[in-house]
Amino acid sequence: MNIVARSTAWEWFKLRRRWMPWILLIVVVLFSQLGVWPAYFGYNELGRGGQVTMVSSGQFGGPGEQRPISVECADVMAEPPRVADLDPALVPGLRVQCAEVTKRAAEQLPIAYANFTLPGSIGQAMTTASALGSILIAVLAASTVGVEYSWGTLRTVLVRGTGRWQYLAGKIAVLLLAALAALIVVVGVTAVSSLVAQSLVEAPAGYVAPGWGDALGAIGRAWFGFVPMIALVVLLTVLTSSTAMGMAIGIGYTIAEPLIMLLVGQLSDRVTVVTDYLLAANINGWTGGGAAAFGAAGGLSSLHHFIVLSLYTVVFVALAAWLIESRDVTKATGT
Amino acid sequence: MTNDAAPVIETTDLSKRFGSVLAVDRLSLRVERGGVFGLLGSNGSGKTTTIGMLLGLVEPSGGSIHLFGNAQPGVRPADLHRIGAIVETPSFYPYLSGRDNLRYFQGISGRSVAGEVDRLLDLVELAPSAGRKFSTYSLGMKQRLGVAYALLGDPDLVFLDEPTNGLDPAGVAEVRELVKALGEDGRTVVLSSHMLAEVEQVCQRVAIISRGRLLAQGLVEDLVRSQGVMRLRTNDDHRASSVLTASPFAHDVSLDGTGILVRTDEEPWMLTRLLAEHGVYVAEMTPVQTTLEQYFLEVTGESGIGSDSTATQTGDAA
Repeated sequence: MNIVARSTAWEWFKLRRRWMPWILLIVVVLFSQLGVWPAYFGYNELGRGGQVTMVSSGQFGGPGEQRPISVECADVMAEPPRVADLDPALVPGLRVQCAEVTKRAAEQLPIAYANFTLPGSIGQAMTTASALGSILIAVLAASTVGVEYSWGTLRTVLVRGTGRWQYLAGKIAVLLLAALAALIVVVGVTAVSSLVAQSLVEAPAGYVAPGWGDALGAIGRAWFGFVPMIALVVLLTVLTSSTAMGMAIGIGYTIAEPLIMLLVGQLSDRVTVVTDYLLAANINGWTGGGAAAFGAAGGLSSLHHFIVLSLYTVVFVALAAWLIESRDVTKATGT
Repeated sequence: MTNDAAPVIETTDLSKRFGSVLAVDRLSLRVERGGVFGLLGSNGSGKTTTIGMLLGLVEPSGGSIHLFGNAQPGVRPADLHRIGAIVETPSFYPYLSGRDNLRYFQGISGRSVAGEVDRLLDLVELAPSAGRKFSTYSLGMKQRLGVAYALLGDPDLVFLDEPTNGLDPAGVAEVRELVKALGEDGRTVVLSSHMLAEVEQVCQRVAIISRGRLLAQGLVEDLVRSQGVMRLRTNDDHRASSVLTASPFAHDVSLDGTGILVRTDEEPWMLTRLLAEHGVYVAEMTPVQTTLEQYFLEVTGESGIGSDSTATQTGDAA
């Protein structure tokens, strides 16, 4: 068996015997459901026709007192209106507003329905999973590589004749597999959630389900978004020989980069050109599907993000491999 | 290409510098195939760095390494497949059981042999605890697992760095017998230790390192005898002492109340002939056996090799 394949297989053997990946999996699965169930409750709200709010002098208050009133459209549209003490003069205006709200709701209903039913819910779950998942995969990557230094097991492994870069490649491969496996679990749980939610409500009239191609695209997009993050954290962990440092610098950078660029962007417009090629900006742009999410390199194509992130990944992995090949392996670092 | 008659380890001017510290200084070691070879030195003498270089963990700053008679210098993965080693305290995965740790290290090296893990666990008497997590093991159990790990894949060359650390006396005796047995079945064992009595009991050859430099290497019996100290009892010890002191081939002559102690580089019969020529007759002549520890202390000029040294002191120390 190829050394990298063998290393990957045995890294998988170790990984599934640790608590950490299972805990992280539970967290990401639970978090991903935020893309399903809020959409379900939002859909129900829309189905009720919504609410309207208006400011009325004297209504529900003392003379001369102004206060906003909120009423359910279903109550306003009923004949007669089912709102106690409602000034009859306000009813026509409220009904006009409600008609507008109902029209908008009718347009939004299929979108809202798609967000918590298959296959549209997969895309929702992938978006939420990738937001938290990039931090969790950074934690897992730092731990998977860093413990070999802190426990001193790197030396024990290398003495067995496992090549250094092959061993690192096995680690990276198992992290990529773990990320994919986590996304598959998220898809499975989301599918069950969606079927449950779907069974509780009627589909809106004229609803046409989106294709499964978009769902598969979302899975691929979320997974590839993890790849440069894994490469970055692996490099930092090898560089510092420390789980804590790899984790802290990796996560810290991806959080700090958008904030710093936002501040620097206030000083000069030219900085946007730099932002187009920064790591976190491209990860955010990629996982947001090119949308101008916070800290994303906005207005750029997915192909741009893909190329930039691929280059980062290659550079990070090559540097990490060079470091592990060229450095002496001594005793446990304990960090 | 390998040469079976060549030394299993041969280093030439091997050096390692960490910044301004010269950890190993032009070390030329030669370890013959088979038997147990002792690598002696106090803490910080460069033993572990040397082993690290021999295992490809540490890049030498200078010199060369030839393993298994390879024509080309260096340490290759193929060489490491013939080597088993524990370096310092054995490091294993705390969340894996003893058995799973061995399975992992067996698997990752690609040298899986059916039943080998259980056989080794039996050998080091860890079979009853094999399912327990490594983190729950005592230091002695960790050491025994380390020995089992070093023997995975039936290696030709085994490095054991302080394998009896943390073991109780019974455990020390067991490991000592195991190391002896390993050296007797054709493989080469390099035992790094500062337990000099232990080394003296199991090693045929030793190398002594101090401050990164090789001070001596050779057969243990040659090293402890090389001082050539003899104890003599004669019909006239005072006269014998005078004759020997004046002789060019007798050194460090002294009277200690029970006889004369003298060191010579020549054959012992030359002493008896010399004394006879001066009318002094030897009643008894015995070589004074020194211990490896005494020899070590003499060549290194150190006051002691380690706080836990248990080398025994003989009553007739020179």
